[in-house]
Amino acid sequence: MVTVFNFTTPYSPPCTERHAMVPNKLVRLALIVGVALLTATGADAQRAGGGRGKQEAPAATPGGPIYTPPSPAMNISGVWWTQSYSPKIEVVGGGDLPFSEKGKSQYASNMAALKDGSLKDEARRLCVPDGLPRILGNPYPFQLIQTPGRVTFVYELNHVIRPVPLDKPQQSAEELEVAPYYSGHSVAHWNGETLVIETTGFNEKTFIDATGAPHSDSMTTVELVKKLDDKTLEDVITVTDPMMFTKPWSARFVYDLHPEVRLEDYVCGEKHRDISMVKGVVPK
Amino acid sequence: MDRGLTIVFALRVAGLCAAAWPCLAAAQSGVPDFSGSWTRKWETASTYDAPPSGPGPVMVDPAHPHHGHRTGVADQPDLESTPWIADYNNPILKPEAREVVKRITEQEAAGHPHVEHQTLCMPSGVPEILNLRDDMEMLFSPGGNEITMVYWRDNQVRHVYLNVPHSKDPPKTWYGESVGHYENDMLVIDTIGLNDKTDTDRFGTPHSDQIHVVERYRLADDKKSLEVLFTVDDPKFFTTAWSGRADYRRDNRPLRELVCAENNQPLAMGDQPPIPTAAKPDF
Repeated sequence: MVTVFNFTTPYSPPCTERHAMVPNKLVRLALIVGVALLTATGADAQRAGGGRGKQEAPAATPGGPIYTPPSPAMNISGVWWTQSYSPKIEVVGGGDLPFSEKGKSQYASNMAALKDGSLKDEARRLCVPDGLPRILGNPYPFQLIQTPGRVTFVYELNHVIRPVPLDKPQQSAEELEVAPYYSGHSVAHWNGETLVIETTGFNEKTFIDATGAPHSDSMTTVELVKKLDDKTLEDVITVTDPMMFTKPWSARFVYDLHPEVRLEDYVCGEKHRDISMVKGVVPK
Repeated sequence: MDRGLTIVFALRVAGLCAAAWPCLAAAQSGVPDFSGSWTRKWETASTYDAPPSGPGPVMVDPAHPHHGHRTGVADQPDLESTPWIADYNNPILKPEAREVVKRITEQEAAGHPHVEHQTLCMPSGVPEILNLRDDMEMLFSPGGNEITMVYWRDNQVRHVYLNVPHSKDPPKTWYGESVGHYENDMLVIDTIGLNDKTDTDRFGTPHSDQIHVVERYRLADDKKSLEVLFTVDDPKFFTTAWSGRADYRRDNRPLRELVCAENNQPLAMGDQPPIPTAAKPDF
């Protein structure tokens, strides 16, 4: 028998507050009836779901500190999935990455070491984060969650998290140096209906792409994230890293909305979801 | 009402609400704010606290209290850590579960620490994820259909789908399938579909893939604590359903990137635990 809890401190639900902001009676009625029906079906399934005890039927009271984006175009929350994957990053405008002499030398060294095994692609071997911009093109779905003052990227691949505070100053150089991240430290603001994400404070343990293209810990990125339509999202990232590149360059990633997809667990070395349908993926 | 008609009607109602898109969000603004980061508070770190009443979790044997390593604390003597000695005579344990906990406890006492899944960079599963030392955050999706629970430790993630039924036969996974709903200002999370690869607690208490966990979250009256009571039921290993408490206090530090595989260091006992490694990449 599942215990019905008695908390040690009494409380009174704030019933008078709960529907105070619902705009009109019709919508309020629809909400209550709709949730009641949905939760009723949930109760049926829960009763069949296992466990010895009786399960309580959910109450018809949805909730949570929900953020409401200012417009549908600025509602970028949801599960997104790249339209295509490329192991070699595709530069906007075509051509190769504009490597500096050091970058060119480092890239050649990386490729040779990856080939002979003296350098490991730890993002694939130990499942540490891919870092930017590589993770933007990964072939697994990811989720964007907008909450008050923040956008959070939750990637299925390697369960990577990117918290992106809105309208906050970037941390000081000293703070960033103490704790460089695989995914860097991001801040963002809205420019019209485009989310502008500026990221710095990277470590130098990641590659630009799966071929081993290098970056330094001086890399900075600017992403322009916007909806192309209700079901399509674009992220154009511009990478600046004078140590490895002669000039800034950009890459573009396009995602489809997948409300039917739930992110799955991702544990290194286990079998994961089928991604063979993603254009460009060659399962190994 | 016929189930099909119920769903159709519910979708229509949802469509009506979608037409007035902000209404759902607005309606939900009156419930307690669980957002922000929270850190566990406990009587003994990394273990559950006793419930207010009824059968409770396996805890430290009162005859062998646990304390961690302590050095350099003003006005406090230095201490070497003590082993985790579980009260394996807790009547919630069926004989087969008691044998496992007893064996692990005896190994602890002999100087061979039980390594928790979090130390191995593996998922902690439910309910053991409640015992992670690092912070936890709840992210509420716009639309109110999901809560994403992010645990700093190795950036473990759970997804809780609100006001929907469980799947008929969910696959067995590390965090299982969690559905949630509110009972007044209490968030209730119901989890099934867990695999049997994790422990129920830090003492290595086993569970099967039939484990069923119900968590109840509510804000304390002072809004500074998140009170969590949970119930575990698993007929294979437990004689009865039991409950535990896993309260949090408000922290509000910004979410951090914590990558377990990066910082995996040899344990104090000199053993290097294996961490998850892919023999070949997925793509």
